Amino acid sequence: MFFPSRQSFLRVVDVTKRFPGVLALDSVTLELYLSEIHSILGENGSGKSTLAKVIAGIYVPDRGYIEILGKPMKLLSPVDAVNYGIYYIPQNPNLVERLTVVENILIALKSYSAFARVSEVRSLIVEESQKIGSLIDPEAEVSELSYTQRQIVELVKASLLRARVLLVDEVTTYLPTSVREKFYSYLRKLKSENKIVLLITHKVSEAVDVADRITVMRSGRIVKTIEKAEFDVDYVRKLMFGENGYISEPPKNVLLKDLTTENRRAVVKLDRVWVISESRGYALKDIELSVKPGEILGVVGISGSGQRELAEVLVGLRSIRSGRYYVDGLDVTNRGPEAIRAAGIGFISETPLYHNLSGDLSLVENLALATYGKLFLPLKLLTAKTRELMEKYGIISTSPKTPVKVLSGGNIMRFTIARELEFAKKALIVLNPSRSLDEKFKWSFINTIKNISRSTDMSVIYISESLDEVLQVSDTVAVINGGRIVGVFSRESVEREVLEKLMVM
Amino acid sequence: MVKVSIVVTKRSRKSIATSTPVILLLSLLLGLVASYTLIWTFSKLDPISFFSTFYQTLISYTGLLEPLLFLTILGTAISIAFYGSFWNVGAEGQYVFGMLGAIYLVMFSPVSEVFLNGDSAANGVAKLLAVISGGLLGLLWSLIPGALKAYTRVSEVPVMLLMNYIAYSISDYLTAGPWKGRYTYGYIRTDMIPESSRLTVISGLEVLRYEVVIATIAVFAIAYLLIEYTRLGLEIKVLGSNPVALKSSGRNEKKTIILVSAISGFIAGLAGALRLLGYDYRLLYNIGDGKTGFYGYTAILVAWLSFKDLRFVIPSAIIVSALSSFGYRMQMFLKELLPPGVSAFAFSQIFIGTTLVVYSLARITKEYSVKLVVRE
Ligand SMILES: Nc1ncnc2c1ncn2[C@@H]1O[C@H](COP(=O)(O)OP(=O)(O)OP(=O)(O)O)[C@@H](O)[C@H]1O
Ligand SMILES: [Mg+2]
Repeated sequence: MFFPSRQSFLRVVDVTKRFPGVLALDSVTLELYLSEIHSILGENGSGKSTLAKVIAGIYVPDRGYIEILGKPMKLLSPVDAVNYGIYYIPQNPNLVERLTVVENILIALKSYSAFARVSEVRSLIVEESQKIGSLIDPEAEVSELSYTQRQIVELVKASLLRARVLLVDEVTTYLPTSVREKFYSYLRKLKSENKIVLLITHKVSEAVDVADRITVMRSGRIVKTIEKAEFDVDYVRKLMFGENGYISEPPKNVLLKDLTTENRRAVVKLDRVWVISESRGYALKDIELSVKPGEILGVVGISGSGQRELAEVLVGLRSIRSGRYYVDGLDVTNRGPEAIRAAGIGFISETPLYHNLSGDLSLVENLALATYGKLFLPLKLLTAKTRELMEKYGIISTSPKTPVKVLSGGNIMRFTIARELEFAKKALIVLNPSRSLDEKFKWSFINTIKNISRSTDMSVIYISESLDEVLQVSDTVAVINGGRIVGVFSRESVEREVLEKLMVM
Repeated sequence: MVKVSIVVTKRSRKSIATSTPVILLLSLLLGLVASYTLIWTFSKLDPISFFSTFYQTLISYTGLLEPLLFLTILGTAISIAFYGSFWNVGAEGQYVFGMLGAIYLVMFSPVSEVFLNGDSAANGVAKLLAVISGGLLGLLWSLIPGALKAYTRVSEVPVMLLMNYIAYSISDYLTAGPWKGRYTYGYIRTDMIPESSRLTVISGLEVLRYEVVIATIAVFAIAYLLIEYTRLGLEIKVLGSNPVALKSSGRNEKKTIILVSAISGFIAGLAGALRLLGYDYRLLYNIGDGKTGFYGYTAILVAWLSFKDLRFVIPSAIIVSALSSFGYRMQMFLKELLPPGVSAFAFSQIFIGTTLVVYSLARITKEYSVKLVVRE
């Protein structure tokens, strides 16, 4: 085919990158044209982030090189790449928790020796963040932002650095429909300005919606790059997961649990709970929630509505200003995570390296932290158990002794899920688990928790920004908006539109 | 325009060139070469006498062994604390408290009777008690900043630096006051502890004491077991790397901070007690004037050089003690050779500095590979 308007800007030439025991990129060659949105699709651990990091100068390839406008370049550090206008938005936002948004951005601008006038930057943040998707308060402390908001801050940073090639790693997974539309048009605007967007994602539908071309990766290799004319969801899925290793549809709803006849005491109950936010008033207002044995309660809301705070309260990491919290009828208000954990409540966070795991320690040690061994650690048993979990949940890691932080985002999430499912007996608190999971694993995870809750009476509180998932998994759906629960419905009795309205009202 | 850049990437494979013994030798060697070059420009000292002095230091390793043992114990104490991000800069004070604990038990407590007329078995038990009481006092002294950190979030570093001076003062107060000796020829110090309470000299290696050797091995082995194989060790590591994960997995952060401070202080206290019973035999006045050998401070360097890896405490302690003894010897040796006005002390410092820099760099390159890249 002939595309007269196409002008190649950047080429990845025969790049190979090996980590201990893993071939993360295997002779990858890829060409990016000016003015295109190019999507990289692939399952967890297929090498997407590694490819982006090579382009951004974060990793130096073992073999191969990057070519810009036909000239081989050595990108040896992110600063080099930024000089060519290449900027990487990481899967895990890389911001200093204790600083405000402005401060974070100023640091970044400084380190790339770009201009930095505080008042100017402040108003640019307001302006750009609105263009990108949703308003970010420049004076907010990063520790208070939701995951999605942090990614928007990263995008603002890129925009202020005048990026020409924007490498976006899993940013869009959770954007609410309205914001997503805005974000897509932001990307299209970049494209019209002759820029390049490399959009890394797990979501086939998203790639198909917004990209001009799609490159599918599997186990470090490029399976194929396809043009818009060939876009077809099923075809792309096949490329991603292989001929028959994929699930084309979300699983059909397992029978809903009939909770009306259940007169049992709530496993987890929040009674008029108020929680202070560090900077602005209350993060949670007058929350009333209760979950019965075996019930799956979905809590859905757009990014930044208080989901993170809710999860932290349920786990005991955040203190309650007023109101009570009961686990199995026992008052655990402000008693810290010890009592809650001892009751057998598991926690899967959207940021496992912050909430759940120590990245410096091995899988075995992180498993040990939550499970076996009172005085001595039964290392043999733990290693065997880790191997078993790796097998069962498809966790790719060089060995059970590898430090957790070197695993790919999806693999870290899988490991967290594996460990917490192993641990939790009474209830499971889940916060945006699917952010870094590929579709196949996401649905199998959702199936797993459904089955467990049906067969063992374990309760689940599934807090998510994704309405699809919440509708798929829950018996009961609650909507959270601005720190308040604005509606609780039984799954069968509610229309999707009603929930959507409540989420954004 | 030619641009040279330095690229640092994380190493994915380990090589022999970065194994511990190679790093040790390499850093000592480069330190030697650098300091020799410098000395040569001033004094034209022939290489034979220079290197033979070094050789002599090494073969008269006995001068090295004694600091090595104490720096290993104290380095282990501090290193464990570092694993839990408890920055124990107070080991010096805990070490002094260890001395106080030991001398109290031996001379001023009811147990002191045993040393005057007990049999050897009773003596042995009493000595053990003296060492343990030193450990316990070190523990108490360390518990103060530990508890402050756990309950009020006050940083332990300034608190402990201050507490080191308070420990000196308490020791001086006791030495000049209630514990002042009668048989001291007018000096302000305590009396010597009875012969029967002193540690056992190893014949043929007079600088060593059996009990100190055994204690060093035991402390290191137990510390290693603790960090690698126990739940407490794991929790200390998680405390140091991600305290949120420690809490959310249902563990008590405060308890862990207090335990790590206690363990670290106990070990530092042991070292003080062993010192007093094995070498010093009494407390001197003005103890802060270098009469502790500043071991508690030097050991921070040992722990720092081992970069949160207990296995590196011993090689680091070897380096640090070799440096201090060689530096000392070289000073005496160079005094006559150098032109007036050029300080011998400076040269020994250069040697120590170079070696430490090389050692640290080598430890970093063990984890990261550094490449120089030149491009047009
Ligand atoms: N720094 C590293 N050290 C060791 N192994 C690594 C490192 N970075 C990535 N890997 C491994 O390389 C493989 C590819 O990782 P990569 O992060 O590129 O995957 P990904 O496609 O982005 O996956 P995900 O969807 O889970 O984010 C994985 O098996 C991962 O464990
Ligand atoms: Mg990734």
